[in-house]
Amino acid sequence: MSALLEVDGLTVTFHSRRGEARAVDGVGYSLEAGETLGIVGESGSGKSVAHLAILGLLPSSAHVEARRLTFGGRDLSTLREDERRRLRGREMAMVFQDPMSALNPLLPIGLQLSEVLEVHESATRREARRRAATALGEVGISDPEARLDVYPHEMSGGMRQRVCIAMALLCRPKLLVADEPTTALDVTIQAQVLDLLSDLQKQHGTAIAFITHSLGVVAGICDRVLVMYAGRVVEEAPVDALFASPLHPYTRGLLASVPRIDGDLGRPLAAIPGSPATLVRSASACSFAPRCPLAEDRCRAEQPELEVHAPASRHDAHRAACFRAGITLPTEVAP
Amino acid sequence: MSLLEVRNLTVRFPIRGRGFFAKSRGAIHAVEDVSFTLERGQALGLVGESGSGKSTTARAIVGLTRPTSGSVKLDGVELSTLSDRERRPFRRRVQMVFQDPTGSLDPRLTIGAIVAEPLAIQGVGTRRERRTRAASLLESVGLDAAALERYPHEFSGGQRQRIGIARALALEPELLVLDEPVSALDVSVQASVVNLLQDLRDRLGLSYLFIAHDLAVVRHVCERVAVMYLGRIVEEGPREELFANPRHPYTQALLSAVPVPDPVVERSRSRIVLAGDPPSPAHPPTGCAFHPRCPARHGVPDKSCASIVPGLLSRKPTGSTVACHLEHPILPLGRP
Repeated sequence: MSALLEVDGLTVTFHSRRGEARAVDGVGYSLEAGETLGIVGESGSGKSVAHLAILGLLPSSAHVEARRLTFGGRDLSTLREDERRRLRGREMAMVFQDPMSALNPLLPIGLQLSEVLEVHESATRREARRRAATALGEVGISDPEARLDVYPHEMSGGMRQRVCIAMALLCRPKLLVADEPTTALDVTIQAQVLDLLSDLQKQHGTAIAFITHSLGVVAGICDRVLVMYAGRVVEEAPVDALFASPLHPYTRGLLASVPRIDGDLGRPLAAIPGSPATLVRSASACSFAPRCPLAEDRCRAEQPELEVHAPASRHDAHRAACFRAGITLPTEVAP
Repeated sequence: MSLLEVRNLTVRFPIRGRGFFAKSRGAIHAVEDVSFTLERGQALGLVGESGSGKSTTARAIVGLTRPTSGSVKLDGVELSTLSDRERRPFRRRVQMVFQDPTGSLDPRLTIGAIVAEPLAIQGVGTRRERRTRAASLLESVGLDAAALERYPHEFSGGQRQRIGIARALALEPELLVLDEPVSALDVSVQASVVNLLQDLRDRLGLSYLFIAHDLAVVRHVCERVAVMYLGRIVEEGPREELFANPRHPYTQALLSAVPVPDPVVERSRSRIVLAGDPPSPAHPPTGCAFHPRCPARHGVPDKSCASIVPGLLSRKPTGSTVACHLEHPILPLGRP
């Protein structure tokens, strides 16, 4: 059986006055039905842009290329815009970080929800309204019928994000792209929303691409993880392998720099020096080399490819794009 | 004497109706009856979710918001009743670092002017002396003195936050009030700013009031932690005690909701998921503000949760305080 979503060699470039900005640079992965893939990275790592490109949501100023971009066996790159639009919302959907800007402030949420069903499934107004209420109930909103007439500004942030999730799942999509869906929420509300997503996934078998900068969230809900840096995938692994034996110095650095609620208090955090990479950069070096404690001449002269390091089945492979993968960092040596 | 002593601090913002003659229609209860002390050299973390009143507490302490009632004492001197002019000498001793390192730096000023501005306002030194001092302040936060001539947009988020810290240190304050100082920074940059704050505190003997929603960061920086919910402190204590043995049901839920970057640990943890959202501070619930969402209130015998505000009382051997009827049951009247 082929994967639900297959991406290979995805590249997104923007042309700016300061040169060509390559926001996404050769990203590839596959996602199976019912699987949760975490995509971790900092601002500017290309994690959001890559997924906007997969869904076909980028403006025409973005130049998107891919060796392979298939969804359920269909080649997305050859679809016409109207065909893609029909796919979006029905078979693939997205939840954004800021639910306030994802909702129309002028329309009651019931109308925004039922519109989806009227457009995609030609439901009657009454039928759509009934299903909208059911969907609100499913995401744990109490008294859903009465809430249909409420405007977005009358709801709390957590409630609005539930509405967005309900909207994304209305047509039972096969793929849900969740772009930092809990970043704007408080931790107790984040816990509610994450619980909700994994419950709904179990019920409907939705595949989730979960974009986040939080390693904690990844550890809690993902099956597999991609780590992105400067537009490229630098490491890919099943979640346990990534946390137990990270290979890329960036991944190792990130894990060591995050304070943990159950961590060791004795020593300072192991900070990664420097700032995240800019988008205009050389194609003939590892982008992480300027910040990498292990970098050597080769890292500054050649770009490492994503290669399998740990022997495993094809889908579970542990890959890293690093010439120095797996070598102990100086900060990891006990003092 | 404690460096900072806050007693029964209350801040309410009136909600006005429309029109010129409109009457006040109630108030947002941002901070209600908050008391704590901060000893010299200590770091106290103030944690809570949005709307819990932690930032308003900080602003009332530095004098950016006028308290409705209550007292804020620095070294025994009451600050909350001082006029702006009378307050000025105390501003040197308490400085603030803000969350947004972009919004808190004037884009039209050079870094040198930004860092030296507090000195200029307080009339410290000559122009040249202020410049020399600005250069050494930048070095103490890990930036090159060449930054003096440059502008904020030329720096990354982490570097801008270092500039904000240098400015706060310019007047050699004793107390830094840090309002979410690392939460706008990228993960890989956060750690270096946290380490800088630790290092400065050791080197300069500073005291911190550290406001953050990230409990792991607070645990790393602060020896004492106070947890706020809907304007009130619900639990306060030494970090070891509070994180290992939280007593208030809200603290327990909050800690259990913090994700741990370790899949093995995550799978084995049980999470207390609270129902619903925090209530509006315009209409706080009666009694304990947490009672409508509290998973443990059925354990309280006489239903006092809905009617009586629990006091923040101490738990003797641990040095911590908790505001919960479960911890301190109210004895029915007439019994010894």
